[in-house]
Amino acid sequence: MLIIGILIVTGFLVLPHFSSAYLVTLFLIMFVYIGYATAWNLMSGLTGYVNFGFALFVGIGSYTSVLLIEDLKLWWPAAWFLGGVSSAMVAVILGSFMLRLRGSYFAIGMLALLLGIKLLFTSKYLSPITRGGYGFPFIEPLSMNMMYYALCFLAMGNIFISYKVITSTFGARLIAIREDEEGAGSIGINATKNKIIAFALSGFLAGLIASGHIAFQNYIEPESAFSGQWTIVPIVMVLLGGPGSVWGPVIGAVILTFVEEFLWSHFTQAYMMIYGMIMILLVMMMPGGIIEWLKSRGTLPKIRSI
Amino acid sequence: MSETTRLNSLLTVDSLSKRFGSLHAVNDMTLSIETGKITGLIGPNGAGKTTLFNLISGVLNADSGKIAFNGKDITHKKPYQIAQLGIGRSWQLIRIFSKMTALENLLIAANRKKGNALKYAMELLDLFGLTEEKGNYAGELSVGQQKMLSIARILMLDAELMLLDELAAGVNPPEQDKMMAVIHQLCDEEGKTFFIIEHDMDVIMGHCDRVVCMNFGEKIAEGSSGEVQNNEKVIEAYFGG
Repeated sequence: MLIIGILIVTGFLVLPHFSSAYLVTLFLIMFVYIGYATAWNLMSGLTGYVNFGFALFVGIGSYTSVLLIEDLKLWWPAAWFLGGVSSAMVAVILGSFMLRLRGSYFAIGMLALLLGIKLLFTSKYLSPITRGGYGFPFIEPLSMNMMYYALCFLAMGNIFISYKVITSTFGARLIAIREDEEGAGSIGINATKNKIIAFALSGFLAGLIASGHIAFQNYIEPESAFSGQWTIVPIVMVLLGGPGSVWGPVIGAVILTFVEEFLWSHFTQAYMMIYGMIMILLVMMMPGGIIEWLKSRGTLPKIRSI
Repeated sequence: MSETTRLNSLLTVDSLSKRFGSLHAVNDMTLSIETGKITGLIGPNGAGKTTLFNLISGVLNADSGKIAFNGKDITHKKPYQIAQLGIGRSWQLIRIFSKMTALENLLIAANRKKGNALKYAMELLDLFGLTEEKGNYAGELSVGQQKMLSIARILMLDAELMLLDELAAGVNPPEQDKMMAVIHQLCDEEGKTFFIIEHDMDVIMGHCDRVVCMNFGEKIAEGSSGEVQNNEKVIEAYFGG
């Protein structure tokens, strides 16, 4: 296992020296998706609170890092980090009241907040800072290869953090909340506090990855930074791979990056619709994703660290 | 209530009331639970027994009255705070985490340091005869084993008072005996206190030091099992019109 891991990582590291710019970009997008999927999973896969407002974290993180680099000339790693911090802060503020709602009310509420905040970023109230709904071009001071390595590092970091969380007592508490929130309360688990911490962590990682994601696009506007796509895509990836597991989101992200690339280049107009259909089929046929399916067949052991 | 019983009581409930619309689910309830004893709570269906448990464990908020644990007012505390203070409860519908292993179910409730928690969890599994099941999903255990696991789980909290709802229902007699033996052992050796709702009169009469009987949200009798068994109001509540 260790050898395979080392081989894969080495492959990632040497890739930019051998392959085309196209492949580098494709892998870069894969790292972004691994990051988003693991970040979404840490909150929603573990606690069962489905976050339809995930794109909010992406948008906030993107805007924060781009504006810090453009307007304040901040060193890019610091700006990316603060992109994560800003999303985490938004998560704490929104979570402190949204996470008192149960199940579908939380999901719908987050979707409404996403639409509302996207609108706020296009409005005249924030336009002195955000430059309004049309957005603006920018260039971040790092090469494509540097972005590739940075995102590779962040994606691996996300996997490591999600492994640490899922195998910890904190992770077990989050799963307990998903299984039975009232029961969790009766054994002394402060559900609201644990949910807010998980939400903030999910927001932080999303904002961090989003900062790297926006960096190579050289243009930012509310419509694409807060696009519902950044909610749908990670959810489908996690559902495919296996919610609540360490490797499920990663497997889902890797498979769907290439599926998406294929769909996007062949069915440019319909590809989000095809995505939606995949999501419906997954929920119906394979509710626990690939990982849970393999566990129930006995191919994988029933342990949380996978 | 005399001063001496107050001194020994771990939990005191004072004029507690809860209404659902026009229904007095619990009405002006006053009782005290003595430390290190097993107290039974009986009454016909709908008498308000589970509502009383929900009030004590903070799942429901009382309309009026007071609940004190170890002399501390817990009336308006949240469920997780009450659990952390040392009142554990089990549920009629068990509510263990079925997709976690038996051992994980215990570790997650731990109120102590990691290595220590694992040692205590293994001791509890052994005590309840569940050692062989530690790696199995809790949902795969028998009803009796699940109930014992749910008691072990609240013991992991280092709770002093256990509220056990419908302990024996659906559990086969040998497992019932095992369960009651463990409960007696915990009372006698560790001074744990139990307050149990039970419909099986053999369990109540055979094992409880004191029995409280409720009907229509009110306490209609209290005393030793023999006293309650022969109380006219109790007989009427169960058999009368």
